[in-house]
Amino acid sequence: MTGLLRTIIAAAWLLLALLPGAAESASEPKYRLIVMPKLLGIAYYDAVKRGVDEAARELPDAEVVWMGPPQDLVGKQIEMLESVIPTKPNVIAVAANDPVAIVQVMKKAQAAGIHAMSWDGDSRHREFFVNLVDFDEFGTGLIEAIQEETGPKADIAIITTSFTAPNQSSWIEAIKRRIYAKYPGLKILDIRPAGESTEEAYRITKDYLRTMPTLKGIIVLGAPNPAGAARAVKEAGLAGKIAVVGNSTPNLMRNYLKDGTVRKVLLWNAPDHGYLTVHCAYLLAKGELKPGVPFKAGRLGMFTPKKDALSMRVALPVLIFTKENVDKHHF
Amino acid sequence: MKIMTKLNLMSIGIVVVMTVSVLSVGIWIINDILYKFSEQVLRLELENAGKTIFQELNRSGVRAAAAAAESMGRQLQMKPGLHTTKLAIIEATDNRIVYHPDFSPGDRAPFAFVGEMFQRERGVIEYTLDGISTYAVFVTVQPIDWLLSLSISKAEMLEGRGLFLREVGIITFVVLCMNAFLVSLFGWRLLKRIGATAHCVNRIEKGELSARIATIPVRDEIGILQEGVNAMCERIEQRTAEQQEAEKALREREARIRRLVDSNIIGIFLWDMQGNIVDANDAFLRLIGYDREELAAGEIFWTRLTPPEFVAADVQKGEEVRRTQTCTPYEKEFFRKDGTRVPILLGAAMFEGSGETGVAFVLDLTERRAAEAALRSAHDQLEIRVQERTSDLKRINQRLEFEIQERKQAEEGLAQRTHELARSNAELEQLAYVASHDLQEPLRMIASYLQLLEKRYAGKLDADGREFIDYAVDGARRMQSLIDDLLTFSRLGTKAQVMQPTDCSKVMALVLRGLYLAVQECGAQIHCDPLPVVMADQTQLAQLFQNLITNAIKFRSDASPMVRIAAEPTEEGWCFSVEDNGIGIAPEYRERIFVMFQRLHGRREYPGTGIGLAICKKIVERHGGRIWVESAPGQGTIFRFTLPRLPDDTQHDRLAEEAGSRA
Repeated sequence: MTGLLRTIIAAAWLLLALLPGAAESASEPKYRLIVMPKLLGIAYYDAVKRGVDEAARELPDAEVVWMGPPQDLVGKQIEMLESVIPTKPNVIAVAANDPVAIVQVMKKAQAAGIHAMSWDGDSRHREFFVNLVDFDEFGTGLIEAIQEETGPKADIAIITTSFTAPNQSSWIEAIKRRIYAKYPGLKILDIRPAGESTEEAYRITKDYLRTMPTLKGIIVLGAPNPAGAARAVKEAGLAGKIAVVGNSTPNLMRNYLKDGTVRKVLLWNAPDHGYLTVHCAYLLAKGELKPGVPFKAGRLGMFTPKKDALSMRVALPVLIFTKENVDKHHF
Repeated sequence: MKIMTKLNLMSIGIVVVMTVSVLSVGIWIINDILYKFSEQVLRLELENAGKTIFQELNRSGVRAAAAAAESMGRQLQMKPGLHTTKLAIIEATDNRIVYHPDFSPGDRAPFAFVGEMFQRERGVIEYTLDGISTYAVFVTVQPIDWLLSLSISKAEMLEGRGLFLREVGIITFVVLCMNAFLVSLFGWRLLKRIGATAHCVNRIEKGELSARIATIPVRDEIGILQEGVNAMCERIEQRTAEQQEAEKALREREARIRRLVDSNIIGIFLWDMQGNIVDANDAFLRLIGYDREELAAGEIFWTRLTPPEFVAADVQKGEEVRRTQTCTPYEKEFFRKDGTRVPILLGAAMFEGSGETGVAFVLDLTERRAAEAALRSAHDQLEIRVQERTSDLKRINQRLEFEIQERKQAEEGLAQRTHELARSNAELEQLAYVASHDLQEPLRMIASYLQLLEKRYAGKLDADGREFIDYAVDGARRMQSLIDDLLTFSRLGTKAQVMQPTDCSKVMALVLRGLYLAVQECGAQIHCDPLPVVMADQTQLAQLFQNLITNAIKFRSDASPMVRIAAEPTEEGWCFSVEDNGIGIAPEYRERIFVMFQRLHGRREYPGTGIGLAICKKIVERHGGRIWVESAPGQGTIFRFTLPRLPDDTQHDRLAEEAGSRA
C-alpha cells in the first residue's frame, strides 16, 4: 500500500518537474538536481531518501527531484530519463540497474547540456560516481571479518545476487585479490547466484552444507540474502561453527546478530549515501568537483574525489554492524 | 632441329615452373582456407560452449559452470578434426584458472600471453606451448571478466594440407608433362612441313622453276604458306615463259621496223640535239648525196646541212619538239654534198623519255615546187580578172547605199511628223477639256444672273426686253449643253478608265433603266438580244449605248419607235447593231454625222448639240473598233460598230461556227 502511495507521489513529482513554471512559484532555485534510485518503495531507498531530503534542506538554491521506477528495471529508468531530458535539469544522478544499458541515455543527457553522474549502481559512462563504499575496502572488510572466525586456512563459499550485478562483482573481485595477496590458505569452493532472495539464499546454503563437508564459512552478498543463509546455518545447528558474513541492513539482521549466528554485517550508511549524492550533484552542477581536490560534504566532512578508469569517484566509509551497535540504526 | 631443341627445353622449363607455382600458390591458398575455416569452426564451438557455460553459471554458480566446461571440452575432443582441442576458462583477477583440462581451478595460469588475450578481448592467437604449436580462438566475457579460449594443435589443423599438396602436385606434374609431350610432337610435325617448304624455295632459287611442294596435308597457316609458295612458283614459271616469248616478238618487230626504215622511199634519219645524225636510211643518204661510210664515220651533221636562213626555223621547231615531243612538218632546204640545195618537207619526233634523241622524216619537194610554180602563174591571171569584177560591183553597191540613206531620212521625217501630230492632238484634247471645264463657271454666272434679272425685273421690262432675256437665257443653256458635251468628248481621251472584261448585257440593262422615262414618254419598244462580254471601259460603253439609243428615239418618224439591239460574231470580233425605224439618213450624210457639232436638222426640229455621234465614234475607236451607219431616208437607220473579242471568248467561237455552218 505504501509502495503504491510512493509511486503516486513520485509521479506527481515528475509531473511538477515537467510543468515549466509550476516549481518556480516560491523562490527560484538555481540548480535542479534529479536523483534516481534503482527503484522506489523499499525500506532501503526510503532510508536513502531521508539523507537526500536532509541535504536538499541545506542547499536552498537547489531543487532536488527524487524519482525512480516502481521495479528495478533499467528500461523504466531510461524511459523516465528520456522524458526528463527535455526539461533541462542541471544534473541527473542515477543508480543504474544495468551499467551498460544506461549509457545511451547518459550520453544523450550530456549532449543536451546536462551533467550525468551515477550513484549506488555505476554506469559505464558518467562524469562522477558516488559509490556506496570503496570496493576494495568492502572486500577486504568481508575477508577480514570471515577469517577472524575461520582462521587463515579454510574452505569458504560465496553467495552472490547475480554475476552481472556490478557491486557484487566488484566486491567478489576485491575479495579474491585480498585472498591471493594475504590469505592464500582461504579457498573459494563455489560462488552461486541467489538473486535478491532470502529463500534462494537459504536453499543454496542448505545445499552448500550438504555437499561441502569441509566448509567453514560463507560470504553472503545482497541485502536480503544473509538472513536466508543465517537461517539455514542456525537450523542446521551449526551457528558458531560455520561463519556467516555479508552485507545487509540492520533491520534484517538484528535478530541473527543478537543470537550470535552472525557476528558482523557490513554495510554503509544509507541516509548518508543519499546525503553525499545530493552534495556531489550540487557541486557537479557548480563545476567544483576535481580529482584529488578535497571538498566538504555538509556534516560528513571532507571527501577527496579519486580518479578512476571512467572519470572520478568518491565512496562512503564501510559501516560494520555488530550486536553492540545494531540498535543505533534503523533501516 | 635447333627450334625443336629450344621448344623442348622451354616445355621442360614450363613444367617445372608451373608445378612449383601451383604448389606454392596452393599452399598459400590452402593455408589461408584452413586458418579461416578453423577460426570459424572454433569460434562457433566456443560461442556455443560459452552459452552453455554461462547458463550454468547464472543458474548454479561457478563450480557448475566449470563442470559444464569440462563436459563440453570432452565432447569437443570426440569430434573429428577437433581431437586436440582444449577448452579453458581463466578469470581476469590474478589470471586464475577457472577451468583448464591440464590445471586445477584456482591455480594461477602460467601463460605469458593471457594478459594480451584479456587486452584484445576477442580474437585468435598462435603460440607454442611445451613444444606444441597451437592455434586458439578466445573471447572475454563481461561483467564476470572471464576469458574463454578454445585451442587446437596446428598439426591437426593443417593435417589436410599434406594430402592436398601430394595429390595436386602429382596431377599438375603429369598434366604438364603430357602437355609438353604434345607440344613437342606438334612442333616436330610443323618443323617437318616448314623444312619441305624451305627445300622447295631453294630449288626455285637455283633455277629449277618446275619445283613444287609435293604434299600439303593440312590447310592451316603453314598449309596456306605452302600453297602460296606453290602458286608463286607457278607464276614465276609462267612469267619467265611469257617474258621469253615477248623478247622474241620484240626482236622480230625490231627487224621489221629496221626493214621499214631502210627500204622507205621517204628519207628517215635519227638525230640528236647536238646536231649529229646517228643513223639514216638509204633514201635520206641519196637525197643529200652522201654514202653510208660517211654516215658511219660520223661526218654528217644536220646542222651543217641546213642553210643559214633556216637556222631560226630549226631552233623554233627544236623548241617545239622539246615541248611536245613532236613537231608539225615544215618546209626547208638541205645542202647536198655537192653544195646544191634540195627543198624538203621535214617532220620530227623525239624518242619517248630520251629528251635528246629522235627521228626525222624527210620528203623531197623538188617536183612539188615545180608544180607549184606553174599553178601560181595561172592563179595570178585569175586574180586580175576577179579584181576587175569586184570594182564594178563596188560601184553599184555605193549607189544602192545612197538610195537607202535617202529613204531612211524620209522615214525619220515622217515619224517625227506623226509624233508631233499626236502631241498636238493630245494638247488639243487637253485644251478642249480645260477650256470647256473653265468655261462652265462664267457661263453658269451669266445664266443665273439672267434668271435673276428675269425674276426681279420681269414686271419692269417690256415684251422686247423679256424676249431678249429669253434669247440670252436660251443661248446660255445651249452653250451649257455644248460645253457639257465638249467636256464629255474631251474626257474620253483624258479621263479614261481601265479596260476590263465587261458584260454588255448588264451595261445595257443599266442604260435602259436610266432611259426608262424617255422611253415611256415616247412609247418606244426596245428589244435587246443577249450581248457578249468584251474588254471595255464600262462607263464609256454605257455612254455609247445611251447615245445610240437616245438618237434612235430622238429621230423617230411618225410611226411608234422600235429599237433593236443585237450583236453577232464576225472576223473583226463582235459586231453590234442598233436598229431603228426612224427618219433615216441620206447616204451623203453618212460620214458627216460622226463629225463634231454637225447637225442635219434645225435645233427646233430635233434638239441637241451634234456631238453625240462624235463621242460614239471616239469611244469605239478607243476600244479598237469602228462604227458606221447603214440607212436611207424613211427606211430607218442601223448603226453598227465592232468591238474586239476577248482572247478566251468561247461564246464568240461557238456562234461564229454556227453562223458558218448555216451559211
